[in-house]
Amino acid sequence: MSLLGFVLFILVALSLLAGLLRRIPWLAAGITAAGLGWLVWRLHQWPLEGTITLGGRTLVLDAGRQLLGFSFLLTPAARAPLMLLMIWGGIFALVAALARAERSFVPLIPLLVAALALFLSATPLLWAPFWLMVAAVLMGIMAQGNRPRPARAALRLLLAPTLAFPFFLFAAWVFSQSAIAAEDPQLWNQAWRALLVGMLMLASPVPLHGWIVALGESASPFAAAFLVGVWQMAVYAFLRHGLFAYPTLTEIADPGVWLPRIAVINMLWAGVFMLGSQRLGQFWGYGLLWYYGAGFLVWGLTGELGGGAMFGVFLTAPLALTLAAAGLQSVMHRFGEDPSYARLHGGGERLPFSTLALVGGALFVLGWPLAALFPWRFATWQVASVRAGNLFLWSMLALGLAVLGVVRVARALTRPVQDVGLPRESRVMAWIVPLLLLIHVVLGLNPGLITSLTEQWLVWFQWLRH
Amino acid sequence: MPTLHALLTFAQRFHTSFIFLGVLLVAAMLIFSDWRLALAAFAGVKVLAGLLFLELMPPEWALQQWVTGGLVGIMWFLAARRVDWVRRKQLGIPWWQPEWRLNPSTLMRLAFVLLLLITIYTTRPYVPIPKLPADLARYATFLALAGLVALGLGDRPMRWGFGLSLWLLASSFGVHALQTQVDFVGLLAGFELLLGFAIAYFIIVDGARAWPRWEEA
Repeated sequence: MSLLGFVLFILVALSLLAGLLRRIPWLAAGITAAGLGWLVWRLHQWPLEGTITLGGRTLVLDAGRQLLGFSFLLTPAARAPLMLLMIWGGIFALVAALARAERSFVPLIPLLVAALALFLSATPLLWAPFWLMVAAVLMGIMAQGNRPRPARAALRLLLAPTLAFPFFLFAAWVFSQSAIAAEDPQLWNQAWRALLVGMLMLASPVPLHGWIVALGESASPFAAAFLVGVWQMAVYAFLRHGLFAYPTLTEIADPGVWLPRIAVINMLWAGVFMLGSQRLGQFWGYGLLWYYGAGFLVWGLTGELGGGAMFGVFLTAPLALTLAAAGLQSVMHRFGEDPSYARLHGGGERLPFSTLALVGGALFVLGWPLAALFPWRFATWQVASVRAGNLFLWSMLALGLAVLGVVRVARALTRPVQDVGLPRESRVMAWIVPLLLLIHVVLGLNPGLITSLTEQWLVWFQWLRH
Repeated sequence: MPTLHALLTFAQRFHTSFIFLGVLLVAAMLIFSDWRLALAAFAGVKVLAGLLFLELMPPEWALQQWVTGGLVGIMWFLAARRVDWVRRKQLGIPWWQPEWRLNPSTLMRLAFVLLLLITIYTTRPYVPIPKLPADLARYATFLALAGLVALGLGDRPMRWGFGLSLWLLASSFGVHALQTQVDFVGLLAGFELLLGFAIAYFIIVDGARAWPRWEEA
């Protein structure tokens, strides 16, 4: 059995088990998190080549599979981001179940990770977005959840991969015809442009960002944060390999220039609308857009197209996002789905831990000191101030606007109680929030805990696939 | 009795008429507010697509458009009928009573589609894809533009399904002209089925918001 086959088998089995146990959410989430954690641990331990024996079966670690014209191999370059996806899945499953998120969320996590594992391990590289389309369908179902709600977010999730896929196929065909470069230079140039357009669509910067905001407004807070995070990780892994495998792209459009610009536009757009939001869902959607844009800044500024800094951000971000999502979930449970600020009277008094989680989590996502994300955000600001003064100033403006947006939410939540019948929060919040805050402080003060873990993954990630 | 092969060979004589009819059906699909009529137009577009693909690939591969289109159409029909049936039952509206209306959104769709048709007629936009005959390339360009217009016409799942299907159909013309491989035919058909399934689910969960008492259903 190949390693990829084994990983897919475990992920599908976890999904089925979690689905069967969905009426006992903490057990389903516990099994999912334990299974994903075990897989991460084993993938971290196992060598890159050779065979190992597990439960009487032999796993060939460097064996590939052929299917429908694709060649699937869990290379080291795919193994590293896959482990990040599993870590996200485990953390989100646990916190979401404790915060009583929708039952359909946890069983879909391993299934989505499995679809993204196919995307990350498929070659030829330019055909791989097909599996991203398949993953996007699953993401849409996760965003929709199991209750009647507008399908806007789910539908918009399908847009980028479906529209981008033909551009990749066209480029793949032209590049496979080696004589075309000399015979038809115009077609050759069109193929490069098509590849660039496809990549831009997958990156989905402003104004192609509609799905992120729609997720914040329509999906559950956990599903929205998880989907934005895993999309960014998968697309980052794909685009980074694409830029190294096709270096001509960097000559046509230097990513060191356009990535920070995209980042600042995204962050400014998000900051303005975070400040102007009137509803919590809208605020969450633009908060996620700010997080998404800040990822491009780390990617574009920190050399070698991200790498170490991106891994640091991806490893610590789920802690901040789950903290904010847990608070938001609890607040929405009391005030209704996507409540307006005008209705949030008494949140701070009746839901103190949820308010702390929402406000603190949102500030931690922005990179507030003592947060796990702070060292990575601070390092990015430092690089920006040295290498790109104007971009630094614009990103500080975006940060300021976002902080003011969080202050508005905090003010709305801390107004006196109007409805005396407003129920208090669940006692579980009194455990989740301090625990997550403690982990934040520990990681914020000791970023070395993360870097020691990611050193090996980073070396793996830098392997190229074609 | 003529064989299927003979029928398909005969049908290829009407190639240009199929393109013209396809344009009209796509326009109807985007304008009609009644989901039954829109779905019937979608079925027509897929049947014509199967016939047009005969120019690019063998009949047994070209006619998978009929199979995928038929399966997707059935899924969407069942989903939309379920939503409509429960809503009518809960509101006490008989199943036979038509609910056609010429509301502002229908007029807006009509205006956008007319604008698209006029633009297509006057400018004849054309993406030259290698190995793809010019008339099919023009039709594929029209399908891609119509798909984008459909995506811009609101957030209803079936309309988005039409838009994405039109985009995929336009892509299929280009992809199959470049490389006629059974793997690609299977991949695109498989994805269309998966997309059709997801859209059918979204039709139900989105439409259930219009049920007065969705908990009872």
